[in-house]
Amino acid sequence: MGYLYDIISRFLNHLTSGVSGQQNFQQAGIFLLSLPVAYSFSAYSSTILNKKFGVEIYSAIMLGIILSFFLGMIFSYLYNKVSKDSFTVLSLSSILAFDAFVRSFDSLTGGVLGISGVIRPQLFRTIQDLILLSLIISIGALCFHFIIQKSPMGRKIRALKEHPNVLETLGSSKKTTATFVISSGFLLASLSGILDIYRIQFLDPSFGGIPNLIILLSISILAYKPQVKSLILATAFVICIPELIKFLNFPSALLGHLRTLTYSTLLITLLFKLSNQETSIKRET
Amino acid sequence: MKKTILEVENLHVQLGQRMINQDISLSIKEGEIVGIVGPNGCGKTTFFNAISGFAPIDTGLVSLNGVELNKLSPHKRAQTGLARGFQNVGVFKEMTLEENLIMAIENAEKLPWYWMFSKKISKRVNNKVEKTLKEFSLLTHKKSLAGVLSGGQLRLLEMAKLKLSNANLLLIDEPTAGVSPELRNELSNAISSLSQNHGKTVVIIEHDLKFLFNLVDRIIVFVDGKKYIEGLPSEVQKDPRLKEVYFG
Repeated sequence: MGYLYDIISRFLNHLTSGVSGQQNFQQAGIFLLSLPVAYSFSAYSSTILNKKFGVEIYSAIMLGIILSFFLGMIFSYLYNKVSKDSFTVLSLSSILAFDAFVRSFDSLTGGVLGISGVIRPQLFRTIQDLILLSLIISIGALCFHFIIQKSPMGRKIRALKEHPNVLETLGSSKKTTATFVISSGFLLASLSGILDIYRIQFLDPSFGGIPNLIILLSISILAYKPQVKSLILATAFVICIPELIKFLNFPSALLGHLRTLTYSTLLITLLFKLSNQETSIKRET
Repeated sequence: MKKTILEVENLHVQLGQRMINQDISLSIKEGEIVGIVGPNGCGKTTFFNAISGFAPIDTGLVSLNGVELNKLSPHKRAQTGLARGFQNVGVFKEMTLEENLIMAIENAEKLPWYWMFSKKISKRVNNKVEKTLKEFSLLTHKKSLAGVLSGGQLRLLEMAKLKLSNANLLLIDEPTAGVSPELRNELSNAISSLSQNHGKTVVIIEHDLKFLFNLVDRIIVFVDGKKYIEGLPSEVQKDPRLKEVYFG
């Protein structure tokens, strides 16, 4: 039963961060590859605030989310200052920078050994309660996604990807639109990170990082259309696919690597299919 | 005496080491249709970019409806009353025609973010979209992606968007590019209608001189980034300098 709960919890948490991936990568065309930083940063900051500085747990969680949101504002500022390509490289390198920071400052972050024994607060002490909370948050994230799609902001986000200058000539600021997408993306990814840390109750430098980015990208590409339904199906597919490996008789030490390998292969396949699809669309038009 | 909408004084635009626009001064009156012509690379589109905020103004002054534009960002300039068409068509091809027009209405009327949940506003917006699409002979494509339209239909959609904007000055860049000869008349009528029926002031960059001479009230010829000739279409047409510009 624990295994099933774990999968459900992972699915719900990735669904929440999937909304941010979908809005950034697919719709706004912003390669905010630093989303895993928001995911890890919120988890680390709330845990450190609670365990090292004695901040009350709920306040630490709130502070972790707020700090992550501000980090998102910094990334929004950078997006509006540098070229798109530079931003992609910058946001990717932020994952490596955060990883290096976590490994280096072991007095604060626990270094490579990480921080063990992350205790769940009273409100979601059991895994069932945590799942319920994840469910409420993911439903909230999906409602947010749905409303944004229908609202003027949803159209502005899509316009930002296709023709930012035309968006400006309509009287809408491309900077404000990008800031909204990036900071809300950071907020959702940070929520997902907080929920995930209380799922596994252990924090080390491998939390988030490139594997998390690969999952997010796979979900965003698979979901393709800006619909709640396609996002749910894509997340379910991406979360369930590597679980099939468990039923094959591989040594347990290999399973973690095989999971990453499966996600990477999936991402490469998806990118290959997507580029073929876009090429044929361009030829048709 | 008609009111001056756009005032440009001694405009200089430098991109890198190259001076693209030099000492351009002009004024555009309310309701006018003005054409800008000139050989390739003479700075026509850069002039539009400088007015709409996509190219930096080196020196000079640009004001619209009495408001100085020099330091405003492109979207602030749009809010001041400027709308712009693009050489490569300023529509969103991955959106439906309906969505393209809705975006123009949302910005022009500053609709609240929740308007789509209000039946009253939704009905009003839908009526406006349908009326505009009908006016531009595009109603049958309402739910189609703009990307499936022909070059001429895309231009008509761009005109429909410009019509719905609350701008009183429209800058239209090469509207006949990629448009079949059959649709050019329709496009010309659409631009005339923007001025005559909807009270817009229009400035057009165009290479098709025949199209332009039949449409505009005034012509400005650019050469090497400078204003070279200015006058009524009948005068400019007869001016020997025009032939010199185009045929050497």
